[in-house]
Formats: sequence, structure tokens, C-alpha cells
Amino acid sequence: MTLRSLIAPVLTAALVACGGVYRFTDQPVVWRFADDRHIPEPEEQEYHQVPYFADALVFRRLTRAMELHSDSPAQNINALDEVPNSSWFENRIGVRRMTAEEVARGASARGPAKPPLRATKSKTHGNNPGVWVKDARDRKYLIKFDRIGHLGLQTGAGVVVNRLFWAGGYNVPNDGILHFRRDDISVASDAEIEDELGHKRHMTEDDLDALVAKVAHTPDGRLRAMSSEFLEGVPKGGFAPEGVRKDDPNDRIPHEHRRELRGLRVFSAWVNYTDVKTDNTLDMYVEENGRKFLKHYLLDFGESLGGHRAEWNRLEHGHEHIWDWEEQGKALLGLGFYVRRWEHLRPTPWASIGTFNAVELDPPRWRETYPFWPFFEMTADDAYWAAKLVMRFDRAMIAAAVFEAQLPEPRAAAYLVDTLVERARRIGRSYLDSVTPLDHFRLRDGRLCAVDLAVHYRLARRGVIERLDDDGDVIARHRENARGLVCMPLDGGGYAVYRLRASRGGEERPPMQVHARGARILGIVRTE
Amino acid sequence: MWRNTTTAHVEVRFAKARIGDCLREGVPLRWAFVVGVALVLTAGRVEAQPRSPPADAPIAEYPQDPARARSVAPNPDAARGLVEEPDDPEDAALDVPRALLFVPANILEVVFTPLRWAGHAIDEYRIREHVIDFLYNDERTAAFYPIVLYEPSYGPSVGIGAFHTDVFGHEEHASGRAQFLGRYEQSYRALFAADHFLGAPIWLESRLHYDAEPQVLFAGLQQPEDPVRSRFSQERVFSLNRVGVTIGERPRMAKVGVSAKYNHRLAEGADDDFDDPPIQDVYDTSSLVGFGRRWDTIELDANLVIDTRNTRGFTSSGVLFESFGGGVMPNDDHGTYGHYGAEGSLFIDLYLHRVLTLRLGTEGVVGDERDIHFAELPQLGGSTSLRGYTRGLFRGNKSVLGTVQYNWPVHTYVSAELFADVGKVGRDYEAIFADTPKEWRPGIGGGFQIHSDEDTFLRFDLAWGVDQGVGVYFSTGPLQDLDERSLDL
Repeated sequence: MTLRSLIAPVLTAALVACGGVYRFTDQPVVWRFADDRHIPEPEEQEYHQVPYFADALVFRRLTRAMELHSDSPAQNINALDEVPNSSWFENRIGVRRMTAEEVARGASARGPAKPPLRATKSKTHGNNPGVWVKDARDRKYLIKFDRIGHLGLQTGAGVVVNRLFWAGGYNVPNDGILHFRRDDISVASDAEIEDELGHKRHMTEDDLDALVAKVAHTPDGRLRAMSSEFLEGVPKGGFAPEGVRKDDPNDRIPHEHRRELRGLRVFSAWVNYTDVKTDNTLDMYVEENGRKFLKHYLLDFGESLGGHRAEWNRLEHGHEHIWDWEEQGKALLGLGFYVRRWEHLRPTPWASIGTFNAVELDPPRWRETYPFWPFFEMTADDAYWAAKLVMRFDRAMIAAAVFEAQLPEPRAAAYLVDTLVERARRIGRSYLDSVTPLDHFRLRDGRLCAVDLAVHYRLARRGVIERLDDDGDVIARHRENARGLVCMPLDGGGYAVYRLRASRGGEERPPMQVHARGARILGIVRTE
Repeated sequence: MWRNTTTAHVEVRFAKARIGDCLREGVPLRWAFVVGVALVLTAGRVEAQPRSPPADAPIAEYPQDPARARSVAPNPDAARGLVEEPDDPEDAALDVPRALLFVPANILEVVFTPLRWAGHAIDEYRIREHVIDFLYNDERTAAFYPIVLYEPSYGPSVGIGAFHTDVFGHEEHASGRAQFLGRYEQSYRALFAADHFLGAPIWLESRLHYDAEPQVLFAGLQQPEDPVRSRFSQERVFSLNRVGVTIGERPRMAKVGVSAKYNHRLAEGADDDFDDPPIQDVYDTSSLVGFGRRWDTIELDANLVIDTRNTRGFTSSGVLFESFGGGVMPNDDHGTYGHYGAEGSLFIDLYLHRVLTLRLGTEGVVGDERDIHFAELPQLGGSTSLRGYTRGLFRGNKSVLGTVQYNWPVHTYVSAELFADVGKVGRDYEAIFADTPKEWRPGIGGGFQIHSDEDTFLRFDLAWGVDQGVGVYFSTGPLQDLDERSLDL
């Protein structure tokens, strides 16, 4: 419930009419943003946790609510309502048939760090301390371990989600699982260790022993770790959840209006990636084709898949913000009679996966731990786009990603695959069937054909696709086949607008528009 | 390493993994075989339920080489290609409310800006870490901490404390504190306590207090019908030494022991500069035993504690029973008299951490009233006994206290509570339980607890009491703390 949602319906009740007039230019579809133009090297943006949380939970939360944001469309979509490639996102599963092998490989074929390892840096603080290492190939990695009693939990979740997000189109590092013995890692001569006050000193083998003593080991005494390869380029800090980066001339679309960041909410709900915040993103100043520019990455998915719930008993993760004025306000006023969905959650029997199931997921009600403004701006169009990508992951791809995690409990891995498949379907049911989910448009044999994705994925009953005129009256009905395919005759050769609406047993979805000129699709409006 | 790209292959690999898992976990081979065969046979069919994505490319227009596709500068809406777009009536409708909210929103931004700067400074200079490093030892088992407290009718007090939670490696607790202003002109306290001293089942406790209190509340004895508030001053030295046996471990633990308490007390008239008049202006102090002269007592007690609470922070099940009983040794000033107390709390998890707490307690002295210092009498009032009434408002030979409290979770670390306390003091139980219900003092209210699993950090209650109005009651400890209360008279 937002301030806007209270005010807007009252004021617009008399104004809202049928679908408005859109018109697209007759030009080739844009599939790439030229945001890789050379820019001067930006300053590194430091992340400050206290003001970030203060803004996310109170300050900016309040002032944003007072700005009464309306459901504005994403600003980086093309005529087909898709996201062009950019330094933020690269179309992968959304535009082609990926193989499970591709999903398993992820961002790089180099794989995890190869022992023997040399530790170059570490820190003495943090709940899940990491070690910076160079591997046998002299490549730099950050390696992270699991907490005692949770072997495979964070490391496994980190790799699974890394693979799924990469296949989805996001930029992520090369993360992978490795097992090694204490003898396979030594301290480099110039290694440093930093304490929580920022004091650095020479790192010793004793420091490494102390760190190793605090992490989970496999039953045969080996160390299990997730290695994350250093990204190419120069790190320039995380990206802000709203606005643009002032020292990056390529960054012209406010982050809260980037569809891939809005749609990340759907991906995050899928895998319960609740820890999305600036600190878990990274802008890298990279050089490609002689141009230096910023490339934007998502990092550190270790708390996903219910891992943080299991480690810290924070069952509300994924259901409430850490300070959730709405949910916790209801809980307070409800005198205990308001029972929240997460209160029924129970851990799985496996230490290597968190408190994670499919039944708990109600995608529209899913919440990240720290409010992330692009998620607040997500529209039905953005959600549809992201859900469409999630639904393109078939069981084999998901299984491939899970296998890469090398979970120590095979039954846990099987459970995780089942759960991710079912959660994807819940996402599909929520977001594909709330609009008119026609996609895969083709112009063939003088007909406009499309696939009703909700029917195709067996998320909705077969129905008819109604064509509407400008006044909203039905002028034609076209039956879908069992796989959701529907075709209709094309209009003449001029500019034509097809207002289409899915109707399933009397239940109508909001109409969409397909704009075409002759046999060429010029544009799509998902919701009017 | 990934070579199989079909769904069936993936499923077969899982099936093999499941068989291996069964074997490792000792499932009989024949069952592992049966389960395995079933899994292999059904592997491909599992996929048949959710349908795979449509076989053809989802977007026919997506170019073979996207790098060569049409690109545009990353300006808002640049790629959309719309030459005409309808107005958004909802957005337009919000223009007026937006304009109205523009000024207050920007005022808030101005207010928040210095707070953000402060937040930056806290992070940039690692102030939080430096503070913790300054206050705590390297192992984070010992610390200094500032004390800032507010007690209704006493005002704010400040001080400094220190604690060590693991003195000898078995959770032996040592602490000390110095406190000034408010209730105390000066207060110095030291404590050592262990349930398992050196790892053995030995219950040890040792305390030493010195308190100088300039404005202790006094409103008559045995709960007069129309109490008149007054203040007296008190200087007190107190020590306790306890030894006993601990049976079991948390969350099922009992402690049996004996204790010796030494009390040296001087209660005198108060100055004239407090909210309530000095005691000597209101009461005949010559009738108050021990008033105006030094008074020493040595009390020997037996103690029994039964604690089956599941956690000590936000307790949702179990029982806490505390009791003591013994006598005060005679000396030149007074004869012997008995002193006892018992309090039991039952925690009932009604549903998913909605907790009903029932508490019943009593404390009493037995003996000649002329032997018992008036300040040694059991008391009611304050944040851990009878909320809604000021600490020490009721004093009598016997006290009875009951509580019904309901807590429910709001946040992982915050629970809300509604409660009703009721209590009464009197010369004896006959007087307390006489048919005079209006003399029972109810206190009702609600509030919050901030807690971890292991501790209550802060309780904040608003409570109403008869003729008292609504008061604010802070506490840094749990509600159930009979022992602590009985030491702090």
C-alpha cells in the first residue's frame, strides 16, 4: 500500500478511458545501446552502509513516497518491449535456445581457482570471511567458505544463482566451487590482513590457520570454497539504486527506470536473492575494442536460496524488508492475529540448502531485505518480461546450474531443482497470466501468429484471443491451440494496430497492442 | 564437465546421485535399487508436466550478430521508437498532490542531509568499530558501557559499567558499575556469578553494593487507603555470597544453594528539593523502625531456582521459578525475623510465538515488626513488579503480585506486549485477601521488548495505574527477576 495507490485511483477514476494512441517509427529495432563509448576514468564510489540503510529504510523511503511515483514504463526498452544489449545486460536466454552446458559454464570457461593457491589478502572480521588468492595459473580470485554446520550453503547458493542470473542476461563474475586441502594454500610473502578498524599487517600462516578453523570442512577434511574470479578492469564501486552515475556520461537512464533492474525483482523472487543492494553490485572500468567504459555487475549471491534464513534464523527474508513499515505495522496492530506467511516456514533437512520451498512464494508479495528502488518501480510489463525469461529455464538448465554447486547432499540438490522449477511456475502464474501474454510473434502466410505463453506453459486454460477496436469492442475472436499458438489474418499493407486481449472462460486480461506495417512488426505495447 | 544437455540425462544423473545417497545413509540395497529404478524410469516424465519453452527463437527479429544491429545512445526512451504516446491520466492526476508534497519532501531532504553526512562519517572513520574496539576486549567477551537511564519519579541517571561474560572460560560473569544522578547520588556495584564455575556444577554468586540514594519514595506502610508520597534519603552497603549446586544445563536447569546477605543501612530525612515533600514533613518518622540510625542485618537464606525457559530473550515456553527463604540473625538493634519470597512464571506458546505469560509471586517477612527496618519490607511498584506504579510506592509485611502478559512478534528482534499486573501489600495475607477488591492495585498497559534469543536488551512499557495516570517504564532486564528485586530494596 503506497501513498500513490491511495490517491491516484480517486483522481483518475473519471479520466481513465480505453487504450490510448501509440504510434511507432518504421525503423529497424534497436538491439544495442551504445553505452560503451570511451569515457574518462571515473572515481571509485565508496559504499557507506549507514547512510545507505538509513535511506533505504527511512529517509529516502519517506521522501520517495511523497514524490508519488506513477507506474512509468521502463526507459531502456526497444520497440518490441525487449531490453537491448548494453553494459548492464546481454540478451541470452531471452533470445535464443540455450543449452544446459552453456548454463553450467556460466560467465567463463576458465572455471574455479586451481590449487595450489597463494593467499594475498584477507580480513579478520565479517560473518563469512574471504581470502584473496592467486591460483596455479596466477589468476586472482576471492575465495569464500561456508560456516561450520552449513557445508555447501553459501558457496552452493552463490554458484547456482550466479549461473541462473548469467543465463538470464546479467553480468556476473566467474564463480565456481573448488575443494582443496590446507596444504594446497599458503600465504604469499607480501600478503596482508586487515582488521575491522582497517589496520593492515603482514599475513601469516597462523592467520590462515585461524581462518580455516572457523569454516566448514568436508567429512574427509578438505576445504570447500567458492572462488570468484577478479573481474577484468578497474573496480569503481557499486551502482546506486536510483539516478545515474554523474561521472559516467554513458549512464543516462536512471537506474530505477532500467528494465533489467526492475525485472531483477522477479529473478530475485525466484531464487530468494534478498540481499540486493549497492554493496553487492560493482561497476568495472573495462577496455573493449579500444574503448574504456563502465560495465555493471551483480555479485555475491551466497545468501540466496534461503541460506541467510538457515544461518541466522531470519525466516522473514523474502517476505519483509528488514524494517517493513507495512508488514510489521500490521503485525503490531494485529495483536498477534495477523500471521505472516514466513512464520510457518521450516528448514529443510539438509545443511547445504537453506529454508527454501516453493509453497511460500507469492511473487507479487516477495520483498528484498533492503528496499531497492528499481523493484518499487517495476510495472506489469517489466514483470512480464522478467517472468518470460525465468520461464525459459527448463528443468535441464536449472539442474545444470544446481549441479555446478556440487552440493554435498545429492537429495538436497534434487530438492533444489524441484523447488526452483516450481517457483518458476509460480512466477509464471503471477506475471504471465496477469497480462495478455502473447509472444513469439511471427508473420507467416499472410497471418499474424503468436504464442500465448500462459497457455503454452500450462499456467492458464486455453481461451480465445479477442481483437478489439479503438472503442474496446470485440471485432474478432481467434482460438488458441493446445500449445497456445494463435493466428489471425493481417490487415492491409498500411500501418495497422492489433489490439489483442486474452479471454479465458470469460476472464479477460488487459489488452496489448501489436503495431505492424504490412508484414513487418514495428512495435509492441504490452499493457496500454 | 557438463556434457549432457538433455533433460533425461540430467534426471538420470540425479537418480544416480539419489541412489548413492541412499546407500551412504544405510538404506537397504534392495530399497535403493527400487527407488533408483523408479527414479530413472520417471526421470524424463517429470519434465513432461511443465512444458519447455516454445521451440522456435522467441524473437524472430533478434539479429544474428547483435553487435552489428541498430544501436542508439542510451537516452531515456531512445530505443522505444514511439512517435506518439498517449498521456497517462493517472500521472497527470497526481500533479497537484505532487506539487503540494514538493515543499515538505524537500524540507525533509534538508533535514536528512546532515544525518546522512553523520552516517558517512560513521562509516568512513569506522566510528562504530572504533567504539566497539574501545569498549570491548579483543575476544569481545568484556566491555565497558555507558549507562543512561530514566526512571519515573527519579529522573535521569548516568554512569558507566563493565562486564566480562567468560572470566574463566565457562560463562562466569563478572560486572561492575558506577551510577550517578536520578535515583542515585552515588551507586557502585560489583558482581561475580556463575552457574557452572570452572565447568563444574557449582553455582556461585558474590555481590557488593554501595548506594547513596537521596530521594527514595515512601508512601506509607501496609498500603494505606490514601497514600501520601514523600521522600527519604538512604545510604546502604550490601553484600551477598551464595554457593550452591547447578543441576542440568539450559534450557532445563535447576539451582539449589544457600546465601548470606549483609545489609548496612542508614535511612534519613530527604532534602526539600524533590517533587514530593521530605518524609519528615509528612510522616511520624519515629514510628518507622530503623529510621535515622545505622542498621545492620545478616540474613541467611536457602535458594531454589528452576528454569526451563527455552530461551532467555524472547521466551516462548517453559517455567521460571525462583524462591528463597531464611532468617535474619539477631543483633543489638533487632531480634531475629524470617524473610522469604517465591515467584513463578509460566510461558505458554499459544501459536507461533504468541506467548501468554502467567506470573504469580509473593514475598514476606515474619517476626516482630519492631525488629524489621521499614525499608527492608517487601515492595511493589516499578518496571519489574507492579507496572503503573512508581517503584517503592507500596511497602508491607507481605506482598502478592500477579501478572498476565501477552507477547507477540513484530520483528525478529522486537515483540510487542499487553499486560495486566495486579498486586497488593498488607500486614498479613488475611489483610491482603480480605474482601476488599478495590485495594488491589491493577496496572495495565502495553509496550515493546527488544531482544535477541539470549537476552532482553530493553523493555519499554506504557502503563496506567489507579490514581497514577500513565507512566513510562524502562527496563534493561526481563520482567521475571525476583532475586534481583529482593536484593535491591
